[in-house]
Amino acid sequence: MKPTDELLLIPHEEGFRAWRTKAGQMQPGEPEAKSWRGAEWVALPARSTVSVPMRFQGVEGARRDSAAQLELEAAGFSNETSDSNNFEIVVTGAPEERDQPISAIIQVSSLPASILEASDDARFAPSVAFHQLQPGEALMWYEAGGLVIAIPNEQGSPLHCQALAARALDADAAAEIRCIFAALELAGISPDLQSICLSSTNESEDIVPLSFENGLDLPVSVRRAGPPILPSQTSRLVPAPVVQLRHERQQRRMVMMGVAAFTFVLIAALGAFAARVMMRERQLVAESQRLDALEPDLAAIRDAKASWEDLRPALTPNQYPVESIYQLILLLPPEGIRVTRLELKLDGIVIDGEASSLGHGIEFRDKLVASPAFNRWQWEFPSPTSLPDGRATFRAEARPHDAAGEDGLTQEVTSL
Amino acid sequence: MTASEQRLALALGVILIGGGAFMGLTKLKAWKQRVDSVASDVTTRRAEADELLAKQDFWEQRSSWLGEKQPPFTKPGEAITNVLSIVDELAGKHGISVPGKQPNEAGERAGMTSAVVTLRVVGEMKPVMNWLYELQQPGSFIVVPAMTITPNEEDTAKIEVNMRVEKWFRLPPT
Repeated sequence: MKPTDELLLIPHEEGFRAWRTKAGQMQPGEPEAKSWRGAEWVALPARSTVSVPMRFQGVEGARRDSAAQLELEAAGFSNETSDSNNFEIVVTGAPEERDQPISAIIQVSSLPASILEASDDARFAPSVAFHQLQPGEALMWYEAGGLVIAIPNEQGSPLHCQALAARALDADAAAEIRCIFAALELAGISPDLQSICLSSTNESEDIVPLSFENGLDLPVSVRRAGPPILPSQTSRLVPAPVVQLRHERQQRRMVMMGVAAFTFVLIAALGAFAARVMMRERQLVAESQRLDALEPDLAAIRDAKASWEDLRPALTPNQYPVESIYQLILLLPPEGIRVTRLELKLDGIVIDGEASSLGHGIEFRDKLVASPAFNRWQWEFPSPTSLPDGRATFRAEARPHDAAGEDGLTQEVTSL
Repeated sequence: MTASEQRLALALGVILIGGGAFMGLTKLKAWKQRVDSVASDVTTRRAEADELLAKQDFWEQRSSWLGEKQPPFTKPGEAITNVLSIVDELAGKHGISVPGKQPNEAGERAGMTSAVVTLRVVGEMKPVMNWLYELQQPGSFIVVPAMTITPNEEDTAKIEVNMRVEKWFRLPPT
């Protein structure tokens, strides 16, 4: 698998400098800060961090971090340790040992804005993690205009790292280093140091003043600095602005995910709706085609039906005038009623007549209106008009009832 | 892409999604209304087709009966003559007189035509009814669309019937 290029931003004497890994080789990167976007690793300068070495005896590994945090709070770093991205507990010995030194690293100041902008997705580690330490040799280098010293343990892992107050190699710097060694001994951490090495980046740094060398009990050597190394393990240290930036980015991603999910649900719902309408439309098209295919047969049936309906008055005996006359004669009493005019049409009947008395007229009206033979007609039969001589005249008019015709269907003649 | 650019893109995306959803929903609604309209038409057609097909044998039987029994139309004069001959023949049989015979304009219906005559019939009640009974039979294809019966003023034992008689003939297929 082809190794991917990684961009590292490392603090040097004049400030941050970019390094890039190409094909496993560390090479100097672009000097322009605007091309540093997307850095993979960023080294936290020693002046931005505080290293607090400590030693716990008889504390189980699971409780070591809690004990270290309590120590830091007791030392006045409670605000700095409130955020887990702001401090790191590094076990410098074997994890299973019950008596071992621990180094707590705390961020105390932020990085330059140009570095923060380029480190959205970067991993952060103290600058000492990018230097190769040798067991028994304290390493010093110039960083951001000052001096930094790193003290390794027996395995070469950083035990303590600190930016010196002294900015030049002189007696004050030597005194400061002696104080650091004494403080480590007081804390119960006694690294077995045989020498101090100065990592130089140019010839002007190769000369070690006698005042500095004489102020130390250890021999001082100078070695030309090589390229930085990649940290052996990741760190949870992240500057607060980057944490905030990542938190906001995470929130935007959540909102975008929500919008995407809503869009997906919306599209799915509209798609399901459209699919349902489309399926229904296809069913209707298929049904319509089926009905179109049946149309010749249906047209033949319609024509047959229309022909029969046209001839219904000729083919339905109970609609014949002679049948109506016969049924009317059956309703007439032996005497007392005389029909003076009878008009029969397909859409109506008109009966004019005389009754010998008003009672006969009313009786005939009741019988005619209630007769089942004329139930397909709706009668309008006002009360007979009484004449001076006791007789009465009447006029009955009928028009087809809305529900008429059912009986006619059942009595149609279909064969001769 | 910076944070403000992301927020702008998000807002633009929300507007586009909302607008797209609104337009899509509007088009879907119009589409569904068109489909509903088609569904209503298809339902009506299907109901009519089911009803007709359920009685297909019934109507085919009647159609074949009509084709077999209904007299074919040849010429207008022959149709009128046919009707008048039936009227006269039955009148003579039942002893009634038909003093008025007036041919009228023929009626037309789909695949059919009629010979129309207006008659004035005078006779006693019972012979007239028997004449009428024999005149209008299902096999004669005669319709009496209008008829008026009044007592005869000259002879009160008789009645006078004014009626319109139509006999329907089958037109040859075109």
